[in-house]
Amino acid sequence: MTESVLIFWIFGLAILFGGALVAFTRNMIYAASGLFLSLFAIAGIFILSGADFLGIVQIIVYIGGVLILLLFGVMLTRKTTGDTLPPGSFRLPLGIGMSILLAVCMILVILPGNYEANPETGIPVLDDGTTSGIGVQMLTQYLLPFELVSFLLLTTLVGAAWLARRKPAQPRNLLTSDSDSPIKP
Amino acid sequence: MEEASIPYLGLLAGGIAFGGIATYALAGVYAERKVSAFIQDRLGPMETGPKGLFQTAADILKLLMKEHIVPSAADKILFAIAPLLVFLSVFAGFSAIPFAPGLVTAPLNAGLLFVLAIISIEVVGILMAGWGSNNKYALIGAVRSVSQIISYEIPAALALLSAIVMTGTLDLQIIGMQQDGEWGLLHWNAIRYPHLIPAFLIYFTAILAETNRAPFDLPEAESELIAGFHTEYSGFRFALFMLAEYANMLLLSILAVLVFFGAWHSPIPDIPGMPDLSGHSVLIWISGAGWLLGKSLFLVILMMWIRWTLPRVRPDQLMVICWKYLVPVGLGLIFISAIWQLVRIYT
Repeated sequence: MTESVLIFWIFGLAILFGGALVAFTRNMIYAASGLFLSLFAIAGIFILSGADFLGIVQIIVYIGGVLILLLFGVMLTRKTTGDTLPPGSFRLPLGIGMSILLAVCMILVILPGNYEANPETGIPVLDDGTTSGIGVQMLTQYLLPFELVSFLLLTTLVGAAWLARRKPAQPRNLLTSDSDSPIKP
Repeated sequence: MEEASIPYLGLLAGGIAFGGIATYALAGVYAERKVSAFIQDRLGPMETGPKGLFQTAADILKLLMKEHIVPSAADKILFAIAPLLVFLSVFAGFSAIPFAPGLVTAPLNAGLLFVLAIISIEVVGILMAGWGSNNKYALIGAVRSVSQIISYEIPAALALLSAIVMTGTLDLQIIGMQQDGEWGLLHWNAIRYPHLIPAFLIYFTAILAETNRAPFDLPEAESELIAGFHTEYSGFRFALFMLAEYANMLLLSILAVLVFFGAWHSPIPDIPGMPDLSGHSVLIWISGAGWLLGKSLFLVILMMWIRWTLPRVRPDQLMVICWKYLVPVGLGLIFISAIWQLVRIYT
């Protein structure tokens, strides 16, 4: 067993442990920490498989973005301790059904794929996944989806800014200079 | 790839890096106390050793021997993990830094992106520390710190992006090698492409905020928040937070030198009287790492100088500086870079 296989197993177990923590803990912050472990280990497996760009983007988007937002939301809306999720099997049949459906879909996609093992590491490798290759592909063959996604993100950004803006009825605006502060000398 | 096949070499490099960072942090704390003293016309530490040189060593010994105090209401697990996570995220960033041509533990072809990604994990550790302490000052400090860091990551990334458009690669080694040449200083990115000088200023402002240093030290505003997210920490765990802060200052400064200021190249290419190093790879490594670290440490001293010169900004000013000035100017610089490259292609 080479080192990379050992590292693969470490990351794999970390993903499972993190996932189990998310599913079984009643503490929201522990669940978020489990999610952090899972997402980070997935990035590790991406990098181990040679898809370094994908792994790095996984860290930036999921840990630097989604997870932080989640933690922020939890911390600002919940009490710091003693606040746990309600016990009980919440929509259990639906959850089991969805899980089985998801598992079947993933098996159907993953099994027929053609995987060639990397001769150096013995780990199946799908693609080189180098940064410049992805960049060229995005701006040539996949230009339209790329532009559509960027347009969607821009719309979201404008929408978020509009929602966070104060209503015109209240002239006070925190983002402008202090000259229009409500506290006049 | 030869280095990667020897598994223990990575561990050895990690050990050397840890020792180096710890020594640098000791010297950094001493330098900060001296810099602040000189700016305020004081002497600073003078008692322990000549000119007070052993003061920080004595301080760290005291810190290591202190009792681990965990508040009874704190979340024990998160409280213990948080300082480790904060330090490890910064420490991992050093793995992708090339100190000289070939002297790098993880030669990633997206190294720059990797460093930016891995240090963003620090934010998770800060939130864990603030929440796990179960203390209102710690929590407010953590929330301030995180909102500041994730806001200022954007102008920092935009400034680096405007340089990346010019270099055409994310590989830190190639970025370093591109700045080689017989004219020395004139081949540095910030000199070759003058619009990168404002890009560097944006980046430098942003890293002051990302390392929670004055004038952006609102998360640790003593008069309001005691010590921010690490209020409840003592002993070794507190030392880890300090280590992470100083290591982060160095890491982000090294990144600035790699991208903007000629990486490991000396400003004057052939100093008369200097021996010819070609062929001696170890000597090239030592001289390259020396130049890189020397330039980076100058930036670190500059950060200390600014800390003791400028007053702290208000939260609203913090956000105005980021979103109304740094981000639009950063976008403009990327536009200039893009036009520069277009002109270069079509002429």
